[in-house]
Amino acid sequence: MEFSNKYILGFALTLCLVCSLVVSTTAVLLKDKQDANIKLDTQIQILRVAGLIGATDKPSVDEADKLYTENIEELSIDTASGNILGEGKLDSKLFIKAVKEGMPESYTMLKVTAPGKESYVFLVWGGGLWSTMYGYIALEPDKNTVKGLTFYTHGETPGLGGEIDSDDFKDQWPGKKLFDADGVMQIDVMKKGKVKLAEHQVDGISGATITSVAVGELLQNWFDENHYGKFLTSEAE
Amino acid sequence: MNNENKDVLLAPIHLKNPITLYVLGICSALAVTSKLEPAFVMSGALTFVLVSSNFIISLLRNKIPGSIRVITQLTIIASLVIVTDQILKAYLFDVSKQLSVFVGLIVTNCIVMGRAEAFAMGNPPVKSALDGLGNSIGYAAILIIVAFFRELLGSGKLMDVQVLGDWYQPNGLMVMSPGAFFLIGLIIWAQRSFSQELNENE
Repeated sequence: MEFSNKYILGFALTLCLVCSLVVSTTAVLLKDKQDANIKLDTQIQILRVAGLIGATDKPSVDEADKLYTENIEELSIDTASGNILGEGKLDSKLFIKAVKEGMPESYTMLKVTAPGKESYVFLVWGGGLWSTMYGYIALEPDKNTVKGLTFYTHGETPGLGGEIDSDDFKDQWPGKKLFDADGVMQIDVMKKGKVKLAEHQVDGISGATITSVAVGELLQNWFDENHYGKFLTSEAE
Repeated sequence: MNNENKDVLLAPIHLKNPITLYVLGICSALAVTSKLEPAFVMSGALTFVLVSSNFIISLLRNKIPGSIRVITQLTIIASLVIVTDQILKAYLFDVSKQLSVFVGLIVTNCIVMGRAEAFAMGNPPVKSALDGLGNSIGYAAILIIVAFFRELLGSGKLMDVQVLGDWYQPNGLMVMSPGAFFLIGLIIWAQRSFSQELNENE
């Protein structure tokens, strides 16, 4: 069948118009629901790493929001001095984007105030074997002992590197110390069975050496003086 | 349903299976089959896209100018895929996180383009939708069989529930993409042994 050029142009235009209408309508209609999902997901991850809910608990939107606002303060920290500047707002997307240009002058840290469960929660990330691994780490009030570490997004090989979000791997972290008595960074992930400093090191995942090493490196990187380190040595709390 | 329609619906499940006979859609068959749950959701997403794209393209088949035929099909398919992705993000957030880019990649899934070009452009809408459904089921069947064995042998679980005890040492190969290749190879072998008519003459 032959069509005139006019028809072809008209057809293409109409098609584009209809398709873009359909796509943008769905996107706009579902935006609130999607944002709510992302917010809930973030809150659940933070509540889990802070030990406010169990590792498999799935609170509803309202429960999570209540737990979060009642027990967690978002504080803005000055990177260079480690001092608290005042109230902050955690926007992980914006922060991750900003860090690409270098560590910003301030960042948001989460202070968990629930009695008996006080901790500090930081957003950490770093390159693994295939993907960037994003997670949260919770530190005890002594600002040295790990309370928990969890990765909420990663694209590591399921069953190998992907085991960084398995219980076996996660259960090793509580109690590990970032620094030794001389203030030297010692936290690390070792090859399975090669742990020498039980106070600081955890077993890696067999078959996933690169992912394991990367987890150790990203922690060392985030808690050095140029990132979150100053807060740990400062008097601020 | 008359015999012809029945054939359109059922042939792609076994005798004209898109994955094992035409080796289409292999990319996602490797990527989303390390566990059962994403395989189910991926199958559902592909079914929706394939049935609707076949139906819509078939409705328009006499109106689509030949010179911009392929880009027209692609525009329709891409729009459907984005809508699917948005719906998953809104209602099945956890699974959509696992599937990540692969829902978006349905756009380039050869089965969808292949059925649009080979079938929907020359057949009436209902028949085309049936063809889409048949091919989706054929695709889903292979995905689910592969995911079943990969999750079972690779991590000793099914739908994230531990089914094999502590005695079982998970087979790391199964969770890697090559594991899916071996399984698909075995399925093709089994299928061709079962139906001799599928074998090409020497």
